[in-house]
Amino acid sequence: MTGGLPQCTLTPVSVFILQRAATGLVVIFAMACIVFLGVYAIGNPIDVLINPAADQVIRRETIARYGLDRPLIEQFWVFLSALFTGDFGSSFVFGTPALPLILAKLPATLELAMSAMVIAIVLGIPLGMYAGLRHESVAARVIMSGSILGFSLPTFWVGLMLILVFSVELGWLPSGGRGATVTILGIEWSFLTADGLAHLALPAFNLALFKLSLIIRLARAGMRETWLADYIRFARAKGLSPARVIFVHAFRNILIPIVTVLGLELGSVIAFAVVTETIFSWPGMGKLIIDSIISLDRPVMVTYLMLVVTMFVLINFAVDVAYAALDPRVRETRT
Amino acid sequence: MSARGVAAGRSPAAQLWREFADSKVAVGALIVVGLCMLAAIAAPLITPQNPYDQSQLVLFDARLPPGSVGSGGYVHWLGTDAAGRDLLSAIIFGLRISIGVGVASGTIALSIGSAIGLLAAFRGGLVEAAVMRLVDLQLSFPAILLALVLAALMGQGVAQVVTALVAAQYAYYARTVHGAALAERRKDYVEAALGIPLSTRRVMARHLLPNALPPLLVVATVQIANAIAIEATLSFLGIGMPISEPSLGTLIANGYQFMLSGRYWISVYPGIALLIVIMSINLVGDRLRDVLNPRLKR
Amino acid sequence: MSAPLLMLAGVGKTFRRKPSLAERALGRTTRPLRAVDGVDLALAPGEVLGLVGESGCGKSTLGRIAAGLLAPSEGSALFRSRPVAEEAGGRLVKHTTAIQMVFQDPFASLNPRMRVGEAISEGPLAHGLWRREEAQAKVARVLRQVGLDPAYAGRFPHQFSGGQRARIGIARALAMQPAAIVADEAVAALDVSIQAQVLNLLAELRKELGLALLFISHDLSVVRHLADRVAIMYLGRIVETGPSEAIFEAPSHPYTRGLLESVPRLDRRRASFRPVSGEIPSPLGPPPGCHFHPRCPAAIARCAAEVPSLRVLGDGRRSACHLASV
Repeated sequence: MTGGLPQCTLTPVSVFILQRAATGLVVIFAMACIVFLGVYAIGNPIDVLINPAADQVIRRETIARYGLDRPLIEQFWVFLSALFTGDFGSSFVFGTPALPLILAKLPATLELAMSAMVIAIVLGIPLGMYAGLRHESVAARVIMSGSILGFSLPTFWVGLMLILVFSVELGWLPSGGRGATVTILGIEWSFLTADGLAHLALPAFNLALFKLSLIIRLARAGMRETWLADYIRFARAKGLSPARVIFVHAFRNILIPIVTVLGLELGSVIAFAVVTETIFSWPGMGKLIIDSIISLDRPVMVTYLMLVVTMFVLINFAVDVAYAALDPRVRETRT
Repeated sequence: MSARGVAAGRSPAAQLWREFADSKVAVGALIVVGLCMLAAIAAPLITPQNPYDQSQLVLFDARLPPGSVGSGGYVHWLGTDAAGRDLLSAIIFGLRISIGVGVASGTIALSIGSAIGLLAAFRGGLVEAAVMRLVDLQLSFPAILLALVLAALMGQGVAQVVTALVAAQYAYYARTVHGAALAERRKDYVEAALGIPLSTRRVMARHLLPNALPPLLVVATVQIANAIAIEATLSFLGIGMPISEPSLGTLIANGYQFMLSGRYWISVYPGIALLIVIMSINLVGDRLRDVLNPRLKR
Repeated sequence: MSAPLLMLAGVGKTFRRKPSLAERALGRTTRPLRAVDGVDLALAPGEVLGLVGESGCGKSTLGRIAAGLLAPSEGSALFRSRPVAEEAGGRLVKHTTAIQMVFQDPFASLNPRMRVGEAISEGPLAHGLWRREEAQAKVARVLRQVGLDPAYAGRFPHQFSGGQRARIGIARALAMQPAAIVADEAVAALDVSIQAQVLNLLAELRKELGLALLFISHDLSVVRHLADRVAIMYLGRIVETGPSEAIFEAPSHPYTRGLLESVPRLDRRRASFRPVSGEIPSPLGPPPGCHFHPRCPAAIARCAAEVPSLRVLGDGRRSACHLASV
C-alpha cells in the first residue's frame, strides 16, 4: 500500500491492549501525584508519617529516613520509589509496616467480595433475563420492584436489618465475625467450613444486594433491547428453538454490558465492603481502613489508597481485555 | 417522542409529562418526594418538639417504645431515642438535613459537571482529551471511597460533606453532558443551524443544551438519591454530619447499639424514612429513563 | 452569460483521521480519505444543476463545500467572487448567507425541541434580515410559499408528515432570502408521490424567485425532470457535465452510460439488465489513473496510467475520458 513506511506487524487488538495498559499506568501515576500532593504538599508530612506521640529520637530518625527536610522534588522521587517497594511507613496504631498489615487482611475482604459477586451473578442474570423475556408478567414486576428496593436501600441499613431479623429475632445465623478457617496455600479461607459459611452468609448477601439489583436491571434491559433486534427475529423466523435463541444469540450480547459493569463494580464492591465489614465486624481491609480513618493512622490510609488504585487499574485492564474478546467491534475500533 | 401528540399541539415537555404520568407508581413516587421535601422545609412547624433544643429534652423519656405518652403530654408516635428525643421530630429534622445535603451537592455537582462536559465537547482537541481523561479517571474510582477519604481528611460538617459529595459526583454529570453534547453535535439540525450560519454560542445554548437535558435529568435523579445514601453512610460511620446536625444516618448510628437489646425502633424508623426518600427518587428517575429511552420505542 | 454565482475551481477535500496516541507511538499514520478530487464546477444565476452519483462518490461533501459548511482542502469555492467559507483560528467562518442548504433527512435536520416558526425565523432574526415585529408575518408568508398553512408555525417537527417536514426545511432556507440553494438528496427520504410534490415546489420556487439550485441526488429520473445541466460524479471526480437532455439522450462517458442503462424503465421491456460490473472501490485506496478503469468495458492501457481531464466535447458538454471524441 504505502510503500516506504516500515509496516508494523501489530494487530489492532495489540494496539488496543497497549493503549489500555498505558492508560492504566497513567492512572496509577496520576493517583500517586494526587496522594503525594494531598499528603506532602498540603498536609504536613511530618504529621502524616510520624506519630504525634513519638519521641524526639524516632522523629529525627524518620525525618532522616524519609528525607522529610529535603526539597519537594526529591521527596516526590522518594515517594515514587516507595511505590515499587510499597513502603509508606508504619502504622501509628500498630507500629508495624503498613503494607503487610493491609495485605494480611486482604484475603478476608477478597473472600467476602468474591462471594458477593458470585451471589449477584448467579441470581442476577437469570432473574434479569426472565424479567426481560416475560416483562408483562407478575413475577417480572415483582423482580423489578425488588431490584429498585435493592439499590435504594443503603447497604449499612440492610446489614442492620439482616442482623436484626436473622440473628436477633430468628437466631439462625451469627451476627458478626468470621468463621473457622482452612489454610490453603498459606492463606486462610473460611468458605470451606460450615461454620465459615454461616458467618459468611449474611455479610456476603448484604454486599451482594446492590450489585444484584444492578445486574437484574442490566440483564432485563439488555434482554428487552436484544429481543426486539432484527437479528433475533431472524433467528426465530428460522425456526430455532427459543432456548437456543436465548442462550446462544441473545446471551452474548447481554453479556457485554454486564461484563463492563462487573469490572467497574468489582472495584466498588471492594469499596462498599468497608461498610459491610464494619457492621458485621468482618476482619478485612475495609474495617482496617475505617478504623485508621477514625484514628487518623495516615500511613495506613496512604498505603490503602495506592493499593486500591493499583487493584482497580488491574481489574479494569482485565475487563477491557475480556471486552475485546467478547465484542468483535471493539477490536476494529479506532479509539 | 411518540407520535401520539400529532393532532394536539403538545410541546415535548408536555408530552414527557403525559408519558411519565402513565405509570401510577411513578406519579405516586413523585408525590412522596414532594411530601418529603415539604416536610423537610416545614420541619419546625409540624413537629411537636425541636429535637436539638436541649431544654426540651427530658432524660426520663429516654427509650420509650412507639405510642407511649411522654412527659410533654403528647404521644410519641415513633418512640424516643436514648436522649429522650421524640423520634418523629428527630426523623423529620434529619430528613431536612439528608435531603438538603443531597439536593445541594447534586445541584452544585450538576452545574460544575455540565459546564465541564459542555466545554470539553465544544473545544475538542487536546482540551477535550485531557479533561475527559481526568473525568474517566475519577469515574473508575468508586464515589463512596472518594467521599470517605475526603470527608475523613476534611472533618465533619455540612460544608465538608457537601464538598466531598460534589467532588465525588461531578464526574458523572460531566461524562453524561459530554456524551450527549457529542451525540447531538453530530446531528443534522446542529449542522443546519451552524450552516446558516449561526454562532457557536447560540447553537450550543439554543439547540444543543435543550436536547441534552433528558439524559441529564435521569442522571441527576439517580445521583441525588446516591448522594443521600452516601451521606447517610458517612454519617453512620461517624465521618459525616456532626452530632449537632444529625442526619438520618447519624440517627441510625445512635440507635445501633440498642438493636440487640430489642429497642429496635431507634434505628429502624429513621432507616425506613431514609429508604422511602431514596426509593421514591429512584422510582421517579427510573420512569424518566424508560420514557426517555428512544430504543424501547418501536 | 452573466457571471456564475458559484464557482468551484480545483476543489479537493481530504479527510484524515487523527492517529491515536498508540498509533503515533508505533510510527503509523492514518490513510487519508480523498472525498473530492480536483473538481471544477460553476452554477449560473437561476440555473438548476443536477449533481448525480452513487453513494460514497463525494457529492454530499462537495455540496457542503458549496454551501459553506466545509472548507476545501485545496482549490477555491467562490460565491459572487468571494470565498464561501474560510477557516479562521481552527473554526470555520461562513461569509455569506446567500447560499443555503436543504438536508436529506427532514426529521433529523429540524431541532425536535423547537417550534417550526422559531426554527424558520432564527436565522433571519440573527442576521438582521427581519425585525422582531415582522417575524410572525414573514414566517406566515414563507410557509405559504412552500404550501403550508401559516397556523402550523407553532407546532413541533414531530407533528408533521415527512413531506411537510421537507417543505419546512425548504422554508427555513428560503427565509434567508438566498440566491442559491444546495439540496442534498432533499427528496430521497420521501415516498415517491410526495417526492413529485416537493420537486414541483422546487421548480415553482425557482421560477418565481429566480433561485439557482444545486440539486444533489443519486436518482437519475428525479434529476432529469428538474435540472438544466447535469454533472456526473464518480469517486470524488466529475466525469461528465452537460445539458440535461443531451446527457440523458446520448451519454458520452462509459460510467454515465452504465448508470443510465442500469435504470429500470417502464416504457422499455427488457429481458435482462446489464449493470455496471464490479463494485465501487474504497475511497481510501482508489485505482490509479482514471478511477473508473477497473470497471470500464472500454478501458485501454492509458486509462490506468493517466488521469483523464474533463475535455470539451462541444455543445457545452465535457467528459473525462481518454476515448471521448470531440
